[in-house]
Amino acid sequence: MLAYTLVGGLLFGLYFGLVALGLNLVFGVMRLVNLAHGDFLMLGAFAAYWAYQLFGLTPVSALAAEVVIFSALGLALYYAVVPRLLASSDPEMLSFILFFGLSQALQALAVIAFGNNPRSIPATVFGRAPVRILGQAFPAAWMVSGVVSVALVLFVYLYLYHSRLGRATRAVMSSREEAMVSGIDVHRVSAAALGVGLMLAAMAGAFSPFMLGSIEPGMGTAVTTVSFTVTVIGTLGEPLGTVLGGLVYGMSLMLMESYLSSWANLLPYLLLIAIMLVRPAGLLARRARYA
Amino acid sequence: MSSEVSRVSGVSGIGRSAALSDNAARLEASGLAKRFGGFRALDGLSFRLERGEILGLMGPNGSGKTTTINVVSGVYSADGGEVCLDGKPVTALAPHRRVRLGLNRTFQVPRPLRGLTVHQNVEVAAVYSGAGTDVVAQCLEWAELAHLAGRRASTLNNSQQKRLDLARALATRPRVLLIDEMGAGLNPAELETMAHKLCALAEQGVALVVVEHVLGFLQMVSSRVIVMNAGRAIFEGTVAAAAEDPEVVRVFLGERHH
Repeated sequence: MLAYTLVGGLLFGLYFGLVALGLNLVFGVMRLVNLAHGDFLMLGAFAAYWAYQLFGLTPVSALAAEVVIFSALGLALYYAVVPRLLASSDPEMLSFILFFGLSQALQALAVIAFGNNPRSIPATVFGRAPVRILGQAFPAAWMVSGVVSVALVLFVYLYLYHSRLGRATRAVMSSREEAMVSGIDVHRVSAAALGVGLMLAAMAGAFSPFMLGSIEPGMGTAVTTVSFTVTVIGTLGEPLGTVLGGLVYGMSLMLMESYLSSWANLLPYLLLIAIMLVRPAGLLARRARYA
Repeated sequence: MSSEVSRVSGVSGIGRSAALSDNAARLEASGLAKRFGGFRALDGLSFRLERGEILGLMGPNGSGKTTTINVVSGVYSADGGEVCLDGKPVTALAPHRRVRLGLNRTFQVPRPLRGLTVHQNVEVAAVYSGAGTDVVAQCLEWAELAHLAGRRASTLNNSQQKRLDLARALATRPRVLLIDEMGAGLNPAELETMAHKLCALAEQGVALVVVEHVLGFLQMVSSRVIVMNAGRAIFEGTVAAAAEDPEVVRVFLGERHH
């Protein structure tokens, strides 16, 4: 039981890191909380569902299309909305209202487009044989999700630490104004971050049928809450800290579900309150202050 | 090399100045306006700055000095008026575009890129402004930070952070440099060294706007000051004449008494 919980917690932890990664990247660069983050994950989930239904594509094959669609969506959303938002007298408050409105609009549109029925992709899409680790059997979909999560975290690491755009991105995260006067195009950097952020959300969405349960238009709100919790645990504005937040969250979730299952739904809120009381700046806070 | 030549505005060949033939100022602000809600932070401010000149900007707190720097550098967008660099309007350009044209500024409270080293901070500015990395070592030397090049920017003290901010700005090869409150927190010896450094920059042709509370510092660097109050210029002339001007005295004393 413990071995199962730990390995499962690791797989879910990696996945939750991926779920929240885009939210934290966008927050780190733009200092705005994307309250529609979970709804973009929902759209990514539906995209994967329809790719499977219409073309028989597995969620992994659907990822390529999601990269294109959702990064383009992020860039478009940025240039349509954010420069105007930042020019207002109270961008933070306005952004809450705007992204909350966007979240509601996406949910309503999804209901019109897809209906309210929960949908799912059969877990056997990655084969019927379970994967055995430490003598425990895990669904193949969990393993695939874990591998994809690791690959995408690695991608974000390379983007942030080994690319010219990523260096500019870290400069903006560290100090927006100093970045501006260092000659960095802050809008271009931020648009790219929102593009990558939505892309990561959508890709996480492709695995949500196996990791979060069925796909439905209203699922985004809970996903945003979980993402926010994971982000805060791992330190706001520190994208790679999200992985740590995800592991803490995933591990706790598996422990709760194994030993205290009726309390499991409370977990995001309990963790959020606990971290606020104990380490309000997040687990990596001290490092983040220098990063 | 030739400080005499570079002091004569628009004549010298030093730097990559455009528009040598016409008589456009290096930097010209006309009718700058900026509101924050109902508060008029800038209310029709105009000034000219020639090549190699150091203009002092003084005034009580809230008079609009830092807002001037923010609007000229593009960190805030102007609600009215125009900023021209060598006769070309830059008012509609994003801050990074102005930086690449040679307009830069420092911050009253510098926020260096904390995770990066001192060297990397300057390098980022050199790379993204298009100036090229060969200026980095020279800028660090100039700011007396070469021995700290490998240190993380977050470990620097106040004076070092201010010098890093200057080195960062210099690495973009500015033609105009706006300096916000360099003197605050520096001791008299540091102030004097800094004044010499700024004068040397001006001799190389860089035009400077220096916002400053420390009058002695302004006296050391600038022949001309503008005194601001409520977003407007209420006086323009020498520092000594400013101290005699009844309006200036009233504004400063008024601030002290209320």
